[in-house]
Amino acid sequence: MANLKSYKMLVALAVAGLAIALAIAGLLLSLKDAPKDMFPQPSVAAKEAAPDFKLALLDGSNFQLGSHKGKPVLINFFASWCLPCGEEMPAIEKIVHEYGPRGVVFLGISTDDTETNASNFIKKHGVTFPAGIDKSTEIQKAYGLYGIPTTYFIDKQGMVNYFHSGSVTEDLMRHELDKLL
Amino acid sequence: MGGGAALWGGFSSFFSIWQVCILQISPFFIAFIVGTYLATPARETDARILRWIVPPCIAFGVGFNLFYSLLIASGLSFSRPLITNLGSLRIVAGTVILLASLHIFLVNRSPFLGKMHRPLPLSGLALLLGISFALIYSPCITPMLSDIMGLASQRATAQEGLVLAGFYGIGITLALCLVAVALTLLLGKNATALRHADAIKNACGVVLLALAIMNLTGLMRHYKAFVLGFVL
Repeated sequence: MANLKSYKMLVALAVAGLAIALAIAGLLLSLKDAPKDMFPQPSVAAKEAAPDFKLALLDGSNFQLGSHKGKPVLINFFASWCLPCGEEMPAIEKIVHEYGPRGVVFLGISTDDTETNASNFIKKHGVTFPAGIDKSTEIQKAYGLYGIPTTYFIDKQGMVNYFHSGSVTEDLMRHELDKLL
Repeated sequence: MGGGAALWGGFSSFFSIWQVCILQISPFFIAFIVGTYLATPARETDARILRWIVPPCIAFGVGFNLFYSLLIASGLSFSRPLITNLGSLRIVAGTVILLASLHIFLVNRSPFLGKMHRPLPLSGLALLLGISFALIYSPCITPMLSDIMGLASQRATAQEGLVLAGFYGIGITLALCLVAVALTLLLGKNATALRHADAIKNACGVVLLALAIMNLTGLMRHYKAFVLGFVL
């Protein structure tokens, strides 16, 4: 009997916890039209300077973001084990061939990955733009990355103009890169 | 997109090819629930099992979804400290997972842990574990999650994105908990499994210990690259 009682109490507590969580969610949803200064400026969504970094590339050379000021840069975070990352690569490659000659710099950064797997992924998907592994995870941290694939569009002044979480399409990349050229 | 669609998106992703990405957390949560059950004093074999595992499952879901949706809602100012300190927070998460694994290992050997092995304290541990799993998780962004993150990353729509991310996360945790509960109920009815309960419990502890070590040492990328890559 005592067991049944405490079980009921636990379930009640758990349901109460869930109800509180849903109530908070509902409250936040109802605040959609509240004054915007309640939730002030986010970082990367607005125009912010793209954190500078140096990355060792898989071909043995180095990439320094700061040395590409004056050119639009597209940075794609990916991983060999990420399903949508493989799916978007043909579209990115097409855009590389279209916009590379127009001065856009492309970079792939593999996260949570090993060198062998990243290299195999690059070969498998015929990636021609420079890519490296963020082994120390410092670049991920600097960009506040949560989830892959994520693509950043950086303007000529070195500001993040836009970022997209999830697979990118050719149209989306054209739309964003045209704004930067 | 509504909350129901987001919930279904998360739930169905668990039973689809996207499970490959959820493998970062799913086997470890199941190990926690199974280990928790097998460490119970009586190992009840009927519906009373639920008393031990349902509240921790719900607590895990609350912890996971709270932090998962906050991490996705990058457009909110109060999400930023979480996102920018994710590296340090993952170390804390690794420590919590280490404590959970030690609990499962030592619960039958330590009178203090034995006393703590009750549904309510276990729910507290599960809540912390849920938060930890949200912190160590690197979601693969499904098309639906991409739409949600698109909303969540913009200041004007971040709150809507936060709520939808919450529903999406509830879908994932609901599926995860259903599988864990079903597996535990099956184990509870299996005489062979119950005969080897200690060994299985210790194996669950080892699985959690491995996750803790991988997170504390940075080896998690090898797990992702080899195990998840192998499945793909």
